This record gives sequence, C-alpha cells and structure tokens, in this order.
Amino acid sequence: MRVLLIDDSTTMRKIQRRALNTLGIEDIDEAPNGKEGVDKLQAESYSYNLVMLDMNMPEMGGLEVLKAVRADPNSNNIPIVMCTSVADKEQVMEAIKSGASNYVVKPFTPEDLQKKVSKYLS
Amino acid sequence: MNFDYLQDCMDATVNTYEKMLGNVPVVVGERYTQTGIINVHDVTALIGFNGDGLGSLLISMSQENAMKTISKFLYTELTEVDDDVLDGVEEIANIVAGAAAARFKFKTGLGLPTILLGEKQRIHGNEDAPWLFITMKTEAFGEFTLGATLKEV
Ligand SMILES: [Mg+2]
Repeated sequence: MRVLLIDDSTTMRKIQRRALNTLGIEDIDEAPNGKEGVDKLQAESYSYNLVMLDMNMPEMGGLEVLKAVRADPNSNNIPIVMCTSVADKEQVMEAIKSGASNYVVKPFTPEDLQKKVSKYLS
Repeated sequence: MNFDYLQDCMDATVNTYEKMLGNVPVVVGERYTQTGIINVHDVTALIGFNGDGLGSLLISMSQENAMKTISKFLYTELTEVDDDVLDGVEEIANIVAGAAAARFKFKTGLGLPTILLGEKQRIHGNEDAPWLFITMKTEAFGEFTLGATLKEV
C-alpha cells in the first residue's frame, strides 16, 4: 500500500501521515504543492494506491491536479481523496464530477480520515 | 453588518479545536470592537476572505501557547517556535476560516494564510471595516485571541 500526500501544509501532511501509520500504512510520499505532486506521480511511475489531495494550495490547486491526473490514462484509476475545508462546498461538487473518489472535510478527527481511506486499503 | 459573523468564527473555532486538538475552547470576557492601531500577540495567523464577503480573520497567541497548541496538534513536544509551530498555527487559521466562511450568509472564499511573528506586533484596522475580537481559552493551551472583520460587497 503506497500513498501520496499532496498538501501545502507540513502540519496537515504530518497529521495525515500519523493517521495512516495507525492503519499500518508506512509507505508514504509527500508533495508540498500540486505541481510537485503531479511530478511525483509521474516520477514514481504512478505506483500509488491512494492520493490524498488538498484543495486549497498555491502553485496548482487541488481541482487542477485532479483534472490533470484524471486526464492521464496512466493515473485515471488511482483513488483520490480530496482534503477540503468546509468553505469549498462548490469545489467539492466539481471535484466529484471531475472524478474524485471521496473527500474529507477539515476539521476532521484521525478517525474521520481513517474511515474515508479504509475502503481503498488492501 | 446585520449578521453575527464573529459568532460564526467562534463556532468554527470551537469545532476545529474540538476535532483537531481534542480541547474545547471557552470564551473569556466580552467581545470588543477595534479600529486604528491594534495590538496582537507574538504569533498571529491572518487569512483573507473573498467573494461576496470581503475581510480577514486572525488567530493570535503567545509563543508559549503556540508551542503548547501545536505540540498537541502534531503529537510531539515542541520547545521552540520553529517552522512546524508557525505552519501549525497557520493551518488552524485556515481550517477555522474555512469552517467560518461556510457559515456566513453569503458566499465567501478563502485566501492563503500568513503569519506575523515577533514581539509587540500591531495591525491596523480601517474605520469602515472594524475588527471584532473575542478572547478564548482552553485548559491545555491557554488563551488566544480570535478576530474578524467582514463586509458584504
Ligand atoms: Mg492547503
């Protein structure tokens, strides 16, 4: 099980990493913005079982990343869970339409996050 | 402004602290309004509102309280105000602002958060966009100030 965390906040990446560790997931890569996230996917030959994707980021926002990843046949099957704040409601609708697998709304508890990702674990 | 946006920000703060920090903050004293030069604490996260609601939100606390808060956030003992502490406070402001904006009665989006760090920081509040403030505290992390200014455009 291999996960890529794309989030501009180091804090959020640490919190997500910790929640995933609790589920036994240790193989986790990180990217601090959308642009580097897309590069990382490519550089690692799309070998991720799950991508956690922040919505609000500089450089390249979550929606843009999602659309790019879904447009690429190499990565259009990778589950993507969007990490959004409550204010992003409309963007969440657009994300679902654009192929996001699920979303978790900040603020969340570690259990909330674990629930959202557990169905992609195997 | 005929709706209580500070209350929305307070509700968002309580929700964020409860879920992400496991502590429920309570209000200390009365809310107050300020314009002109306004003193803030050593660590202040600021984030802008945009869209139909234009304004800003801030969360401000002492360095000591910032370290306590983010130590809990990250489950590590942080003993200096480093990148982790600042990023953590920034992210709390981001989450609170997102949860507050969703409660506002008009469509409001978020900018990116930023941090003011240092002693004797002051901000300036415009006459036609006064800041509303409230002090809150948790047993575990001490006091912090929540502030917001918002107007409909
Ligand atoms: Mg972000």
